[in-house]
Amino acid sequence: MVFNQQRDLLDMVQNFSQFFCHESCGFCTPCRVGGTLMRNLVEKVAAGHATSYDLDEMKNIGLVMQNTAHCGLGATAANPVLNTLNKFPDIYTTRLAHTGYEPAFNLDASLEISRQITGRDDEGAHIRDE
Amino acid sequence: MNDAVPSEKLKVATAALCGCFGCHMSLLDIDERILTLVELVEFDRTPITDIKEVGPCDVGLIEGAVANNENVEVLREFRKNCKILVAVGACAVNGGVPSMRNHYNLVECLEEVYLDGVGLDNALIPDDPEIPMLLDKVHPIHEVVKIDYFLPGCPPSADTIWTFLTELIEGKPISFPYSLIHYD
Amino acid sequence: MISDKTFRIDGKKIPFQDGDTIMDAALRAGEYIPHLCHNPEFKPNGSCRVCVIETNGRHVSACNQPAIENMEVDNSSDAIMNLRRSLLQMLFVEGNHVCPACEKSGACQLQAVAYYTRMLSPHFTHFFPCRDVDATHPEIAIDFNRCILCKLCVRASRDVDKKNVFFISGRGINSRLVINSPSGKLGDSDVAVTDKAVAVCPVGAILPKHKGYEKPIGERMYDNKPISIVGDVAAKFSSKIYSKDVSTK
Repeated sequence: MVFNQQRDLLDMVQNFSQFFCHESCGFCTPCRVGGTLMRNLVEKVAAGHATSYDLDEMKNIGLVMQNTAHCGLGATAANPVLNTLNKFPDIYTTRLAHTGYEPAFNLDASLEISRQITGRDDEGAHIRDE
Repeated sequence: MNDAVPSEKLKVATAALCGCFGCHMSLLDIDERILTLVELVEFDRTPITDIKEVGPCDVGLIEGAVANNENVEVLREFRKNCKILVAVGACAVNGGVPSMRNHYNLVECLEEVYLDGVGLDNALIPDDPEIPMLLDKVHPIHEVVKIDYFLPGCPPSADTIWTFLTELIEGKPISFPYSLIHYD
Repeated sequence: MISDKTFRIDGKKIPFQDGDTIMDAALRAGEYIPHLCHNPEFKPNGSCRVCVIETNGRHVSACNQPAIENMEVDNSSDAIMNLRRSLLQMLFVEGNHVCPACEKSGACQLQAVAYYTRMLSPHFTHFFPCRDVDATHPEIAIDFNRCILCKLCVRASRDVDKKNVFFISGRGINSRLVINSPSGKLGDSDVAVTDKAVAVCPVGAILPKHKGYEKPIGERMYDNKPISIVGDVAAKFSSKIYSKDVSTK
C-alpha cells in the first residue's frame, strides 16, 4: 500500500481496525472479540488516552488473532496495527498520554448521568484527570 | 516461613470499595496465622486498624469494584502509595455482583430505589454534595488503575490469601494449586 | 479402520485411526486437549479456538486438524497455554460471566477450562453487553449473558432433536443466540427440557428450571479435580464419549 506524507497513518489504521470489526463473521473468538478489543485500543490511541501498556496489549492481542483465528481474515486483521507498530511506531508513541497507565474509560464522562439526575455540578461531581 | 525475618516489616494497607466486605472477612479467616502475619507485616490504613489515610506502603489489598467517584479516589490514593496493588475477590477482579447493575441504565436504578420504591415518603433522588456520585457502570479495578496481582474468588479462601501473602513476602513466584483457584 | 500409525503429543505417542482428527485420537487415548465447542457426539466445530495446538510451526485447532503420522504436537508449552488463556479471557469479557451468581458454577466447562489454564483474571476491558434472560418457558431458562456461542445447542436441536429451536444471528461482535419461535421467546418454541439441546450446553446459559445449587460447594463437578481428569459437562449425558471405540463420523 502506498500513502503520501499528507496521510495520517493512524487514521488509516483506525479505518482498517473498524473495517475488520465490521467484516468479522463472528464465528471464532479471536477475531470476534480480539478484533473489537483491538479497535477499541486503536481508538484509545487516537483519543490521546493510551500508554505503552496499551501498545503492548495490542501486540499481544494481535498475536492471539494471528495464531488462533479460524480463517485468513482473522489471522490478518491485526496486521495493520502490528505492521505499523513495528515499522512506524511514532504514529503511536507521539500520541501517548504522559501517565504510566490510563483507565479503560472516561471517568468524568461516566458521572454525567449522575450529574444530570442530581443537578449537581460541584467539584465533588467530577473526576479530574491525574 | 523464613527464619530470617526482615528488619523492616512489610507495610500492608487494605480497602473495601463497592464490595460486601467478605474478602476482608476471608482474610481474617487465617485465624491464628494472624499472629505470624503481624510479625512480618505492619498494617497501615485498613478497616482492621481503623487508620483513615493511606501512607506509603509495600502492598495494597483492594476488595470491591469501582461504582462511584469515592471508590475512584480511594483506588487512586492506593495506587499512588502502594508499590504492589492487588485485586482481591470477584468484585475487584471482574466487577462481580455489583456489576450486574450494568444491565440497567443508572436512571432506572435510582428511580426504582428512590422514587418508585414502596412506602417512600418525600421521594427524591439524593443530591447532597457529601454523597458520592455513581458511575454509569460498575467497573473492575484494573479498568481504572494498574493492578499487579489478582486473587479470584468470592471470596478467595483464607488459604488463597495466605498462600499469596507468604509467596509475596518470601519473594517466590505467585502460583496456586488447583484447589485454591475458583471464581465463586 | 484400525492401523498402527501414531503421532506425538508433547512427545507422547498417540495411536490414531484413518480419518481421526488430533482431538479424536487424543480423546480416545485419554490425552486432554482443552476445548469448549467440541463435543465428540457432533462433527467438529472449530469456533472457540481453545483447542489450538502447534504442529510443524503452525497453529491449528486440534478438533478439525486431521492426524498425520509422526506429527509432533505441542499441547502444553507456556506459549500454547498463554494463547488459550487469552482466548478464555476474551470470552469472559465478551459476555457477563458472574460466577458467584450462577447456578452452573462449579460444573461449568468455561470455568473449568479457565481454571485448567490458571486464569486468575479476565485481564481485558469488559464489554458489559446488555443481554436478556428468557424465562418464558415453564421448564427452561436461558441467560444469554452466559452464552459463549459454541453452537452446541444449535447443532443438537438441528441434528438430534430435529426441532431447530436455536440458531445464531447477527455478525461479528453482534452475533447472538436466537430462538426460532413466533415471538422469539422460548415459551412458544417446541423445545422440551428433555431435549439434547438443553443437556449439551456447557455453561449456565440454558438451564432447567426448578433446580439449582443442588450440590454443595466441595462436591460439584470440578471442585476437586480439574476438567482434564473429570471430563466434559455434557459427557455425563452420554456413555459414549470416552469409550475406546467412539465414532465421531
